[in-house]
Amino acid sequence: MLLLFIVIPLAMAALMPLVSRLWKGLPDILGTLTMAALLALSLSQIRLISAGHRILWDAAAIGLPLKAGLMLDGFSLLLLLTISLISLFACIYSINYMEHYGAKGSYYALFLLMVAGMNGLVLTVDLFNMYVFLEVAAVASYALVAFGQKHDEVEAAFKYLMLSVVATTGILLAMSFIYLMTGTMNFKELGLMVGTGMSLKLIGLCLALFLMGFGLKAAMVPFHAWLPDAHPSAPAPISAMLSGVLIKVSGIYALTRVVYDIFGLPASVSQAMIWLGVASMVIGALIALGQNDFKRMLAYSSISQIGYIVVGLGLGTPLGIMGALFHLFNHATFKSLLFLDAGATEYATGTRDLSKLGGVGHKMPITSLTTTIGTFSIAGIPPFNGFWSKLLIIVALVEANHVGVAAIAIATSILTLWYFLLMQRKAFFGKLAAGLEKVKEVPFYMALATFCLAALCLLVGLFYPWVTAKLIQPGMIALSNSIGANGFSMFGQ
Amino acid sequence: MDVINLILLIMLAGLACMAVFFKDLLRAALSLAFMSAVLAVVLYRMDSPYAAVFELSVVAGLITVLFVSTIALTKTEEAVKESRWPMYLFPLFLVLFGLIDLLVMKGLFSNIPAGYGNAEKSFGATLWGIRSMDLIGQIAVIFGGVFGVLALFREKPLTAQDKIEAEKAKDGGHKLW
Amino acid sequence: MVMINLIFVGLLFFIGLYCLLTSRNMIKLLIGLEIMAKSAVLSFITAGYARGETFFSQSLVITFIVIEVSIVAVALALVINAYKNTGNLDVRSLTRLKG
Repeated sequence: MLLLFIVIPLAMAALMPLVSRLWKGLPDILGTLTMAALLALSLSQIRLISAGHRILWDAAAIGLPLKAGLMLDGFSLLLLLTISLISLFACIYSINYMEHYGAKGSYYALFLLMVAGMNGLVLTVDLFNMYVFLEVAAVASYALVAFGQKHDEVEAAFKYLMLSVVATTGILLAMSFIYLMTGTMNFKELGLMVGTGMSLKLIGLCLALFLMGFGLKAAMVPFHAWLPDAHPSAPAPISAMLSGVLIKVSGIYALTRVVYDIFGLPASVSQAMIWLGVASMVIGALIALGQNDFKRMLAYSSISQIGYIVVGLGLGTPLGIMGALFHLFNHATFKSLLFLDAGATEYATGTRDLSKLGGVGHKMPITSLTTTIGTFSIAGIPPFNGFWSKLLIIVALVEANHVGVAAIAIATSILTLWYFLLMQRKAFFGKLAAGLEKVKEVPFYMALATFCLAALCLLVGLFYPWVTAKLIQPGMIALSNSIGANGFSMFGQ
Repeated sequence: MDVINLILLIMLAGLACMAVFFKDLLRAALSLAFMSAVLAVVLYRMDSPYAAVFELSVVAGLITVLFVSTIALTKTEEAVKESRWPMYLFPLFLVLFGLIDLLVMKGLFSNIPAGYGNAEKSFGATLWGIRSMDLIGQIAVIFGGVFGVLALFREKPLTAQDKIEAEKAKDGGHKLW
Repeated sequence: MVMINLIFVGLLFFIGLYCLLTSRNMIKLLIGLEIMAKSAVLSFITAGYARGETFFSQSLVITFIVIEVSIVAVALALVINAYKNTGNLDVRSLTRLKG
């Protein structure tokens, strides 16, 4: 049953070239239907997971004599839901946006492959398997970033590829050292074996390589250099997917699985994650202030928000994990909303330069409204969803005696509000800039996608108790159980 | 002390240095292919014949073909001028790194404890039985490569704006350097 | 034997990384990438040999080689696209995005 999450998008991706020759509109319909089916599937699993259970799926269940296994626990389900939701809306948005790129068959095929890779990543029980699906999603994303074949996009995709491959080779070396010392690649078995067999120095080396590799995929400072080029150059729905889902799945989810399930969150890693998170928060926000390009500003803002999530996960306290997981879900919704809005603005006006935009709020009411909702969510203003997750993280920091970091988090939040309000004022309110008289509202599906995401931000913010109890808590329980399981102290802690 | 293994590994490292510092791209690609052949022999001597034959046929064969066709498709009148200093400073860095490497590896991997067994009767049982999810991943990544190359090689009709942009980029590339 | 192999794994990784850091030709960058991938292959097979589980490590390596082929294919497609856009293979002509 869990295999369907991987096999359905894979099969549809394989069929896309045939489908696109039959009828021009068919790739759109099939892509959107596939995403809707995946979303329905993931929603149906909520009931089963809510008490902190895990679902284990064995190939033997469908009669195949294989030993493959997939696992779904609270953390995986949260990410599965996030992937399905954001990809559904990005698909709806692409119906109109990708018209002038052409080759929709290839586009949807790559998109579905990226989703299949991400689904496989969150469902797997095996470290090397996780790497395989990470590369599946990454290869699809390299091609998607360069989809327009123009100079900027190819440059961004090339830099992204180079940096990403260095990171994954580092991860591979660490995996081979772990395999050398323990003889297994299964998460559960590794969690039991790592404490006994490996010397502390080797664990330190492997952890450093993992932090560097997954930190680059998650775009944490100082490994963030590829993100400000890649996310603005990609087509808008792909930017939404990259910034909203891919950096979280291949970066944060993978890092958390490795650090929590295998190593049990040692104290030194906890410190390192908090420091890296703080650096990402501050540096991302500061550089975002000086940006003139709408999407580049959003990219730096992503780096900043990832810092919050990493700080929360680095803390390791139940409240910190809950805040981090909630912020992961929220950031996926409002960041993809903002990227889709930026794409809508570019589609309608032809430019991303904030100094050239101005006062299009009257001409594009829906986009203006949804961008405002996105701005309030990301800045942490009640009753939108960003407020609750940031509050959780800040309270967790204070509770764990990291008051300085909490103060930095609050200050960064104010900074976020500032540069987003600046952007709003420049782009949407104020006088209509020259040359923008003929701007009109974006086509139906683009408006529908952004409107649904904005409504989601508001609803999650209003109904946050239900969301935290049903979706976030199982994930937190699943992760908290792994902390300290290995009981080894590192570096004289 | 396994002398043959040591000789093969030194050849590997030597060919890698040649591949990095050859000015002619074709010679660099061919040293890469030769590296794959030597690596295949090393793997075969380590009881891994299947991996050796895969390395030989896929990396020394397929990837070298890809490299050579790309080199043929991207011939320019003037080759890219590499700077001189990396080649002169390289031996220094290599020796430095080699010393660190020696000390680190000796310290880290002194004894290898026994662990979980992954013993299966045959190679096929291991690949298709235990690692079957990897096979699904392989299929997905092959599709990804195929569709990616298809998407990146499609011909679009150039608009007038595109032609102007291409001219600007070409001038920027040549004039600056 | 295992120890010497691991030392060369580190050396090969360093040589590949050096190529990536100091080359100006895009195809040379991909050659550096390939050298690093070979170091990973050597590392996995050494680990399998040291534990006596060659079947397991060979399965991992075969999967990794397939992934490597796809990455190189997409990377070369990107290089050809960059060549079409700029007319040369110099990585320094890809510095338009800044800030």
